[in-house]
Amino acid sequence: MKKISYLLTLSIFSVSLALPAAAELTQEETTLVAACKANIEDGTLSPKEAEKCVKTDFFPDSPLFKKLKTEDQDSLNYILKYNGVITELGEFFREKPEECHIRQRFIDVLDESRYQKGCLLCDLQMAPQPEKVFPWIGKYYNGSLQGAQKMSLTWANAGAPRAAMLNNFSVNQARWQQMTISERTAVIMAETAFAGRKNYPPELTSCWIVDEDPVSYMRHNIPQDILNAIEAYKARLMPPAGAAGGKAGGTGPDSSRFAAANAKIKAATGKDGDTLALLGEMFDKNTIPARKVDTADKPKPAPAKPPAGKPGAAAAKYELPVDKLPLVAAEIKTRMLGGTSTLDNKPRNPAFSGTPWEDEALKFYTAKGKDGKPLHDLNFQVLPMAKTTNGGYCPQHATDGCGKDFPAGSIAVNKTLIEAWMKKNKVTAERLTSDPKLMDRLGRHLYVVMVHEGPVHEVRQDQFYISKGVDNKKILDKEAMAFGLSTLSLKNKLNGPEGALYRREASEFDLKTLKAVENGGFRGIKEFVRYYDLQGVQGVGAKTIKQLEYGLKDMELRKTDAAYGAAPRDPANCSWYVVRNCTDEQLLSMTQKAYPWYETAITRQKSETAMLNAALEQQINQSSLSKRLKAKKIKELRELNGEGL
Amino acid sequence: MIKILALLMTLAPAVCAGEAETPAMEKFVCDGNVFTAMVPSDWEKEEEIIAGRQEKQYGVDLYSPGEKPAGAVSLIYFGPDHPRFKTWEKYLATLRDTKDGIQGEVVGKLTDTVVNNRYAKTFDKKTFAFIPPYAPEPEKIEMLERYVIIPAKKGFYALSFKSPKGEAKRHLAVFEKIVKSFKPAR
Repeated sequence: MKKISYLLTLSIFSVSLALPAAAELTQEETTLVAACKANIEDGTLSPKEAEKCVKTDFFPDSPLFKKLKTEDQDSLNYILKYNGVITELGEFFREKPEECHIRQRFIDVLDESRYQKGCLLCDLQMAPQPEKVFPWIGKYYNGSLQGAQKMSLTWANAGAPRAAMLNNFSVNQARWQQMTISERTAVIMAETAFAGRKNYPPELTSCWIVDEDPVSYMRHNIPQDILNAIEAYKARLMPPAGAAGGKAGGTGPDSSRFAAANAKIKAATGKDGDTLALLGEMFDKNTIPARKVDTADKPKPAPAKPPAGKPGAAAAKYELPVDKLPLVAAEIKTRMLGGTSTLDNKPRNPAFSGTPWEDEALKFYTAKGKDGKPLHDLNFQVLPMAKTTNGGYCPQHATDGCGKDFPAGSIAVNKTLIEAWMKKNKVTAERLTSDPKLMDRLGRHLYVVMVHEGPVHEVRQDQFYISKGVDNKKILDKEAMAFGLSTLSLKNKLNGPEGALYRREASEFDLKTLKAVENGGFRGIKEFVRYYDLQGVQGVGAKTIKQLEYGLKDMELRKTDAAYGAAPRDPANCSWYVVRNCTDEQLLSMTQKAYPWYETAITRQKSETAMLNAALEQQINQSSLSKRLKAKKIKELRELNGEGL
Repeated sequence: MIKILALLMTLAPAVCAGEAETPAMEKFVCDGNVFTAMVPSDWEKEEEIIAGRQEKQYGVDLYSPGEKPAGAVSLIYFGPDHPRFKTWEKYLATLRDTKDGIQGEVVGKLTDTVVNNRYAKTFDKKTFAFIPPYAPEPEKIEMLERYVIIPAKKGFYALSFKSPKGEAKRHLAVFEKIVKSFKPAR
């Protein structure tokens, strides 16, 4: 494995960043620092050693972490970011991922790294082209190497078999190996159309990663030089405007197909299509597979289950019209926070109560300013959403919102979830919006989703990270907590006086989730929610630290390199991806958040695990306590009646 | 109950005779060296080391490749200092508790068994999975689960298996192979 190139990068700004030497480290500590650095510097990149460095020797609550942070932060940055990214990759391959999972992960960590300034694997010469990571996989996870190569569309697997056509695009093996997996996919799509096939080949369909329409995907992913060659090739095939038919070249398709495709596009848009639009038009769109994600792999349904409701009169009967959505949202909100229902002008107790996270959320949502207005109202709406989710929370940092009518800092419940409940209970929209008792029942049905998105995702997580001044990043542990705490809320309700009412409305999935947390605690619920293919906390942490360094480097270059220039290019579009856009103040603010995030997230993970288990213990005890109380009560009654004396 | 017993009777001869194909196996050593077992080489493995140490619940979850829902096997050691399950009896009672269960779930009879010369308890359960999860109208998939609880001098082991009913025969053969190779160290 090659010696890495980031040392040069580090040296640019290390002088100004360097704090006093690590004179106060003990001999043993110095050895640990050296070992964790050596794992990177000498190109060993051992995942086991990396894991030991990140999870044991330099875990945030270890004395050495704190000491090195004070004495030699450069070394700590260096150890955490590179060992962190190796740990993450090692954890991925240690799990023996299935082949398609490898392609999806490579798209995330290799292809996307092209656009990121903080590309750690690029520093280690393991990205962005997949061939760069193969030696490491071969060394540590050789069993996965063949699958990784196949899923990476290597020249041998995917390029050579279509070399003749690729030659028309000026693509040979050397050029192929410079391309990322997404680029290879897009070029194969173009090749398929030129070759006159209507369906995409198995190399692509066995693990379909295209998440937009084929024309857009090709437009976004075919490199410009190859696109130019494709344009030139098409010009050779396409007869002059107005002409049609006739063979054009030995390897190309019938040029009439181009003319036919263009005619379709022109009829639809009034304009001629460009080359990629023509190529996209040539496929049989019915055969384009769904993107290979977990939910696409639909297993066979249980035989006893009746077929799902079909669109038609029966389904329409239980549709919730768009003009009723605000009323339903307002009524559900009243049931969560307490207040008077507009349906019967009677008060409702808040459902958000009885557990620490709900009490905290209720206080948060109902706090009022001096003017009597809520300081942070529950922004809640019912929306049409994807059929794969019950609801969502759009975090505060998503300033552009999370879709139509879904602004930052708001939560939404899927309209389909409500309609499924209406259908099951044979409740029409008219009845629902006029019968307060039916609305009470719906509130109990939506309760778990509301706790999941509001008290947990918004208040306990987003507000927590905001209060700490650090970013709220997507990590699996947060999702596990949302499922765990929301079903413990349900458990609390089932133990309480309204237990039978909540039990009646609980979904089977909620009960199944509750069982997972009761049987396995945090670990059990994390296993349960693994279908979320989110990056673990270590990998996110490593990337964060790399971004920190990139920001520091840019600030240093502004000060020391006159040719580099100090003026920010576009402060309104400042981000980690284009730090040159940022002002010094913006960069300073961003860099100052990186370490606090790492420490906050790692220690939060630990405290949340303990908190969930403590809450579980409490709910279990409460459950058995109520049994004991019940037994005591029965005994008292028997004594009063003169029984058992 | 009758249904689940009938299902098991149907499965048993094939499993015992080793008719179903099983994948290549490799050795797994648990964090803390609390057990070893031979596990399928091509199954996905998830070992929660940090959370496991914190919760005193050590082990690995295994998933059959390329299937949703997958066949899944968990091999877990509960330490004597586990915050909730101080005894294997309490854990067993929680697993078998049918309160707030799903309609159609059936917990099978508890029987004695032996794993690597250790006395153990085992039972089966018919239950369901919901695909996609957290969705308004998921498919309800019938699942078969099997649990094997092995008391230890300190703490206890819980080996479990789950699979969609249609794939249970094939996955049970793998689980049986794992259980046969399971070596508790406590």
